[in-house]
Amino acid sequence: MRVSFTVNSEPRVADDVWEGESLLFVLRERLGLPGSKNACEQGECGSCSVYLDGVLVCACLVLAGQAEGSEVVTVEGLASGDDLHPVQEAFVEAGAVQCGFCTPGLVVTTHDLLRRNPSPTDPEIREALAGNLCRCTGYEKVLDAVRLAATRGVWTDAGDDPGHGLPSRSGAPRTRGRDDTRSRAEETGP
Amino acid sequence: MPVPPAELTAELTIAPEDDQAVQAGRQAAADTGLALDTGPTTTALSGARREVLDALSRVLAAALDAGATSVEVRLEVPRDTREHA
Amino acid sequence: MTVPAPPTRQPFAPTTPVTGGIGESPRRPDGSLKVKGEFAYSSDLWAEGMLWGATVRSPHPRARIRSVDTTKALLVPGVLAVLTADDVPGRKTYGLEIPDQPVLAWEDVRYQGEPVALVAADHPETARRAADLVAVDYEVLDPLVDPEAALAEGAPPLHPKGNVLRHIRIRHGDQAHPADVVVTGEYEVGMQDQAFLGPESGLAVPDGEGGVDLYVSTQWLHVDRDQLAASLGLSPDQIRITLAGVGGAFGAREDLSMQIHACLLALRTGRPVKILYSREESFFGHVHRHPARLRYEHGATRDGRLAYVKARIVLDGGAYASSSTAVCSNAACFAVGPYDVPSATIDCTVVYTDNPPCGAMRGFGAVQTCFAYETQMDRLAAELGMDAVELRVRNAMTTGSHLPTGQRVDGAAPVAELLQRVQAMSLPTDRPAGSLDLRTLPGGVSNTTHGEGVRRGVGYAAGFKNVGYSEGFDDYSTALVRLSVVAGEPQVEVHTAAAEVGQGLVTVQAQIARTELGVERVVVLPADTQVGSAGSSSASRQTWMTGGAVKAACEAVRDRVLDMAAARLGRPAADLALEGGVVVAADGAGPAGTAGIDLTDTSADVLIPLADLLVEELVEETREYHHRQTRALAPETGQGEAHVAFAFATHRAVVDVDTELGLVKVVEIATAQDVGKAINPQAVEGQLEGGIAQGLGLAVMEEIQVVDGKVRNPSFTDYLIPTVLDMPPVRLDVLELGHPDSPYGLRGIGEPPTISSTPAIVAAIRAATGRPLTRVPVRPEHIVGVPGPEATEGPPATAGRAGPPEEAAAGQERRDPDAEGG
Repeated sequence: MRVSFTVNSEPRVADDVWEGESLLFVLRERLGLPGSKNACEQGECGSCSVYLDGVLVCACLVLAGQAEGSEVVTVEGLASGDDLHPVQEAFVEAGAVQCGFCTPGLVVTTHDLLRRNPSPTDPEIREALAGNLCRCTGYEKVLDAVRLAATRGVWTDAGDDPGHGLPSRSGAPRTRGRDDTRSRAEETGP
Repeated sequence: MPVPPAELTAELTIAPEDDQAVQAGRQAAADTGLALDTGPTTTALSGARREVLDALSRVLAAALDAGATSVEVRLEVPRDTREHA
Repeated sequence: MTVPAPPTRQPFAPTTPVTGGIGESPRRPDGSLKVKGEFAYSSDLWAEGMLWGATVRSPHPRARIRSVDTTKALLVPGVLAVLTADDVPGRKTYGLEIPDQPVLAWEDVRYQGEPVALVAADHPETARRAADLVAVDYEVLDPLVDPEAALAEGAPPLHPKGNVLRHIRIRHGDQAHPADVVVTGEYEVGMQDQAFLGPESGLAVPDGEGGVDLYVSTQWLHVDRDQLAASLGLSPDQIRITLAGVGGAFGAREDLSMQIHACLLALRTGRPVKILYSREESFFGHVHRHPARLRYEHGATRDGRLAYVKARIVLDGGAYASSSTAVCSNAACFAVGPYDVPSATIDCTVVYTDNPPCGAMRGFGAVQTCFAYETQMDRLAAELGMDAVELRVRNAMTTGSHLPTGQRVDGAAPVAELLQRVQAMSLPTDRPAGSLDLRTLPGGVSNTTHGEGVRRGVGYAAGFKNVGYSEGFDDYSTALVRLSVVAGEPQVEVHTAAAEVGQGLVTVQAQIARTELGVERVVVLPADTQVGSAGSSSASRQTWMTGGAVKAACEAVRDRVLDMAAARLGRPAADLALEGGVVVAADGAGPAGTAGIDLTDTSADVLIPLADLLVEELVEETREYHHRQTRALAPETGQGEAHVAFAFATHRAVVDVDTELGLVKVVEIATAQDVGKAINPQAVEGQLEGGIAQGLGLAVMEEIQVVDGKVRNPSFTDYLIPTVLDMPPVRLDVLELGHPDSPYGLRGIGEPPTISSTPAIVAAIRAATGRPLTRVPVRPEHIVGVPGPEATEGPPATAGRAGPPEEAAAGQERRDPDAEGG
């Protein structure tokens, strides 16, 4: 079958797609975008995280056909030319990149977190990143990177990030920065 | 993290294939305590040089006694990886 | 036949120069590519006309193959080849130490998942479906899965040599040493998996002349090449391996996975072939950590001095040898721990079974013994009424101590200091009373507790192991360094075969070159077999060995350049140095030939810029770096100078335990480790933090569960690795105490973090619960049944304090009926 959708603001078409192929497979093998990774292909590790119509998803769990007509943003769509996105820059600076296989997924997830919640607390960061597995770093420097990116925020309060190709979220309910059903206690600890 | 490799490996291919000779050779090799199977018709003896050479003659004798018509023997001294820099 | 083009998505060709010399933390040269998703891992490679390979694997742990029928598979449209053992042209087995593992099984199947046949097709789904159509007629046999049974008299031999793969016997000191207090225990360590994120993958491209180019994730290019040559029936120079981007390794890539398979298919079809394992297949596609059963007896004097240690250790090696013989030796050598003991009686055996093959995983035998001996030390302390840290300090190794193998410990052995440092760190604050944040509790937002039944515990542990290879192996690494002028600026290229697996080796190589040659622009070339072997990225050896080779090659380049400058300037070379891309007068401030490490210092007089000195010329040198000689262990006594050097670390863990459900939240882990010299401090921290995460995983959640030889949990759903919710904040205390005979005084750092972190966490859980906990990973059912804190008053229980909690660690823990037999 033929699948057409927008990826990183460019209209793309893939032909001869077998119906059982995932969005992840099409991105990686047919559209020349191998940035999203295939560490488990069952939705456990988050390494395939992409935006599908502005929503963070595991691309391995989306059939290629389901993405027909959608707007997809991958890690390859976050940088502006040669300039890294602040989240990407923070990851490199903070030492959060070792083997880097989890990095694209974490970068996209962090991008999503910070545009919804520009100043997250540590517990909020942990909850938001809980779906991304990393085997190399022990997460310490990943947390440093998220905090660093937050201090450098280019995030507006509207929930989207102008200039980075994400579809506008008009019509969608605004997400609050904190989950009001939970206690507002700050994280204790060292 | 390997231990030092064996000093010598002798690989034997016994013919004819579907015969007592292969079985006898295999059994004799197993009895030496130095054997490992490296293919359907090949057995290797691996260890210190003197032990391997002693074991080799016993295995060859067993195979020949059981009717082997040919035995190919290949001796290998473990190659240092530096040779092919 | 048209020669297939090389991959259009090439492995990493670094273009970002590394800034910063040794001791600094410059950006990784591959960092920008990785965050943009442009870094080519082996699973990202793609070539025109590429085929996909799939592997037919045995579902049975033990079977005999009666026949393999490939006809139906060959008829599937899009399938270009189906291969079996008959199609392996050279040696039909391979192996790191002993070539006992079939490339494709021909008669005996010895583990679940063993490869039997291969398929190449033009779509991965076609290849998978065709693989299902390969009809293998198995005679299913009963697997031998209990290592003790495999050891017993009359056990059926799983290999011609029998079932004992190796037995190490260490007898040190007076074997009948008297003791006032004796503690015995039996311990078990489950099968951990390296669980790297990047799946096994690679691309084999035939060269049209009978040879092949392989782009692959691996840990040791040259040893892969040697095994490939043997099985493909080619000479090594017909096989060129280039390291593709590696998504983690941790020991699992030391053995071959798909390398021979992909090359066989590529050579047969004449087309590039990519093989990429799914996560499920990956669990069957690499070796795991050896499960272990350890029986220990510690004897001590009344005043807390160790008198003797007896240990009997059985490691389950699984179906094939892999690096089991070395793991066995390591477990034995480090069976006592970083303590002085006058008498040691150690027997360590690794056996074949029909369980999944086991081999290298970070820590390599020292992990299993550390859990046992550190638990013993806590029990001994309790028996003596001593503080557990104090007992360790009292027996701690120092420089000049001897291992149970008789080897003297050279260089720093700051065990007591490392223990005291973690103990001195302030403890994390208790959870504030009255306010409820589920996220700080065990179970988190699953809302399983509001604090009732939660007890806090603190535990300590110390560990060590060797760095580098052992027992007389002549380990070395090779580096080529080339200095030239590019676009008017001097540039250094560093070329080694060293596998960057995430640890930051590629950055360190550049830092060393920058420091030694004083040139700003340093580029590290892709690792391949066009240069000599760098040895394996394992055993915490690479910064030392490849760093040493790079340093040596740089020194050789510098000597030649300074000779050229001396001739040009009419001054002795000894008066000259390289700094900031120019030749300056040596001021004696830095090591010979350098003017010091400050590359921004422009105060020295420029005698001649390198660009003017070299012009069109390039200066290139290749050097091999060997460490000092080591020796074999004597067969009856296990005595010998078997190791190059040692690395020490301590850990303290704080845990909160929901004692009603058996859920554990690790609140904080603190560590102190001597790294000799931190070449890249940020990368050092990353290795310590990452290693601790793997230690935490073994302590509370990670286990490949094998029942009757079958893996029950080959997925991330059921093989749990720590998430960001599981990992606590980590506090680091990094010491740089130097080392006598290593480059810059550094030591290896990667493994100690995984060694004593596990027992520290379990000690903390014991302190919180009073349960004996003699097995890792600790499961909830091992913990429940303890009275909650309402029943006892007082501060959190600490393993470091005297006075055990109510249900003291007496008697055997009940055997878990679900525990696997392997």
